[in-house]
Amino acid sequence: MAESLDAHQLIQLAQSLTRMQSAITDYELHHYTELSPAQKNKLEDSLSQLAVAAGRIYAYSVQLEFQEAALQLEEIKQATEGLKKFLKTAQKIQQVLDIVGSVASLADSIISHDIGGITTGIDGVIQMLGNN
Amino acid sequence: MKKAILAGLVFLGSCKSTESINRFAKSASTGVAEISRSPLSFGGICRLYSQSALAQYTDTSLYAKSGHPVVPCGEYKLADSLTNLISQTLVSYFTMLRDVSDKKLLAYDARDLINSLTDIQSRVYPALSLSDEKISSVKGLLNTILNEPLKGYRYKKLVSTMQQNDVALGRVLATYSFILDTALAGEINQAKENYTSFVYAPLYEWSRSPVEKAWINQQYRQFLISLENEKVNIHQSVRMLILIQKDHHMLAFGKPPAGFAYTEAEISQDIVLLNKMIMEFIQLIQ
Repeated sequence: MAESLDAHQLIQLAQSLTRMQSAITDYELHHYTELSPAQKNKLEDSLSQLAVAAGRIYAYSVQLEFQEAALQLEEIKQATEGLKKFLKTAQKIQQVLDIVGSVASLADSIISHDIGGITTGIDGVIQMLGNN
Repeated sequence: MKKAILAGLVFLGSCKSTESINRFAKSASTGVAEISRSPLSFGGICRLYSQSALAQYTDTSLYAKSGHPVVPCGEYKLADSLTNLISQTLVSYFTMLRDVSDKKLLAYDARDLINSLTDIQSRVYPALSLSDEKISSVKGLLNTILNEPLKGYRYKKLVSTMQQNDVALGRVLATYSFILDTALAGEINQAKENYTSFVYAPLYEWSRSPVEKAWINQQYRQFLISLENEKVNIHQSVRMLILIQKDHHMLAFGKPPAGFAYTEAEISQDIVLLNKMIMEFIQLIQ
């Protein structure tokens, strides 16, 4: 069955089973007093089988539809990975720019003989290099 | 000079577009995450068919006498796993789009570096005696050299990723919509039918007094209303997914900056609508 039907056809089949179950239930309700216990049991067995089959087919259609979109899902995963790599690269570039800025500030402190600035600048550069 | 102005316009266009992508990706990731948080699931519907779950609708032992079906839940659980996989993949994709388009990512402010360099210049090469105007131009140039290429490169990366994956995303979103709007909605209809066949009908026939019949009718109505509410949630979810697909396509192929004014206006309206839908959806599922 799964080899010859697609997910949409499976849904149509399940909907037919649901409608059949509805018709049998209506019949049972309208003729309840006329039915023998054996007939009632037989009807209820049929209802059970229809219900189980329809419910499972609805759920099974998800597997079929998923298989048909598996390739595209993989493409989206790969695109996400690509963006993740880009994000890491951009973060590294940002760190390099920060280091350049700190080195320039350090040079400024050295020229102006700002001891406190030199110490802070060196600490900052070391910390940034350590993060890379 | 003309080239600089043109470059500036292109840069401003890409900044605006990146901001739109960021706003869209935030809404899309939140929307899909909220849909996946909805308590309705295939497994949940299967559990409705267990005797203990059905017993909550009855305070008699009548159900035990009825010919209720024993439903194996394996297929239902697998359907939930696959649905979760789709949802997680979509959330991850939109989250990455959001993170890469975040303006804080490339928020390098060259001002400190430029100030330091100009300060050094004034001490080491005072003979150059650059005017404030020239220093200001150098600052602008350095800022442009350091920031703009990166932002432009990022924008190209974002758009090319969205363009390359727009068709695949459309297919995945369509699958997600099918699962919600067709398969899960079908299960809801089946659950309603099962309740009628295996709970309501036998109980209604077996109940003796009018009071008992009225009580059963009330329970039946409540059950149907609860399932109808779930269908409303599904419908809202699918509307969100359709909107997300449309906006992704527009952002990928909006051809900024020339054709981007329309795209941006439309995206802005859609994002407001999407955020409103997310808020409504959160209220529905709570």
